[in-house]
Order: sequence, then structure tokens, then C-alpha cells
Amino acid sequence: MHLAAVLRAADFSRQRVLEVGCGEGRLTWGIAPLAASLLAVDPSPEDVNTARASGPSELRHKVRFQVARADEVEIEPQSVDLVFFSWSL
Amino acid sequence: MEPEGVVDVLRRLLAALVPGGIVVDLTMAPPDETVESDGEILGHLDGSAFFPRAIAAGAGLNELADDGLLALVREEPVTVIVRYPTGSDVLEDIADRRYTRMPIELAARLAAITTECLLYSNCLVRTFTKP
Repeated sequence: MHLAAVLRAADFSRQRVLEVGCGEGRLTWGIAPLAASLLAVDPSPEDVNTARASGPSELRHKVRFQVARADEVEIEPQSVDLVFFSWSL
Repeated sequence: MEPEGVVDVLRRLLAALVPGGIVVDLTMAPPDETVESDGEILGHLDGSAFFPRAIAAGAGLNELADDGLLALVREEPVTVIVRYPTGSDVLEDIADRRYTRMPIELAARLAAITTECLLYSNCLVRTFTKP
């Protein structure tokens, strides 16, 4: 349900996406099939490990994970087309 | 994201976005989430540690929009319903959350429920563009 609402909000097709607050990747792997690439960030190493492990192998080349708080994200200026904030519950 | 300094963090993240790029903000909104089973409301989760963070982040995006750094193009309130096979499944799922708390009375009721439970959450999905 969250995913359906997110996909209605914007066209993720062929976009370079930055997801801030990916948690265990519940939405990450729903967006990944559409995106050109996806950098998923979360401050919890445990959640990032879970997220990384839960994705299908055919999508893993598109998705990169980073353990970081929002103020620590390492990313080049003007390098993404879409920023997705998914506030951790 | 901590509520303090949220605008600075958002500004920094927006620097990563190309001109004409999109920001999608998905957050939960008050009131507290409701747990229901067999048509009966069992109780509400405690979002008091979460909502101030979400509200601060939303206010930060509003501030950037007021400064002309973002433009709001779409806003959709959404009621998300998650179905769990039993009360124990609700407990397990909520235990993984960082900021939402399970009240003791509700946990006790859920532990005894072996039929389907529904969790209702109010969410807000906003879409912005970067001029």
C-alpha cells in the first residue's frame, strides 16, 4: 500500500534515485525495477544488512546501500534525478 | 533525521538533485495508528516519539518551498491498511520499528489474538520539484 502511494506520487522510470531512510528495504526493492539506479541510505547497519539481503539477485546491480544518517550521505552534487524521503517509523 | 538542523540537511541533500528533479516525501501523520481485529478497535500505537520528527521534516520541506528552492506539485493523504495473520505478527513487526512504541495493554491483547489483525496508518505523500 505504501508502495502504491509512492509510485503514484512520481514517475520513477529510468530515474537515478536517492532513498533516504530505506530501513529494511520494503520500498527500495519495489522501486528498483523501475529506476535506472538507486542509492538507499539508512543509519542502521542492521536494517541495511536486512535490506541488502532481501533483494532479488537480478536487481542488485542497480541498488547500492550506504549506512549513514541523512546528514552524512556521501553523494555528488546534481547526481540524482529523484530524492525519496521515507521517514523511519 | 533529527529534528534539529533539518533544513540544513535537506538543503545539502537537495544539492544532489538535478535542476528539474523530483522530491517525494512519504511520512506518517497523526493520529496514532489503530489496530483492529474482527471489526473491534483493540487500541492505538504510540507515535509520540515519531511524529515530532516527521513534523519537523515536513516543516523543513515547507521552508525550502517558501524559499523557492522547491515547488509543491502534489499532495495525497493515504490511509494505509496492513493485514497481519495474527496479533503476534503485529507485535513482531512493530518491535522492529525505531520510534513507534507498543502500549503494554495493547500488546497483551494482541498476544491473545490468533485471527487476522488490521493496522491503519494515516500517511501523507508529497511531491516537489526543484526549479
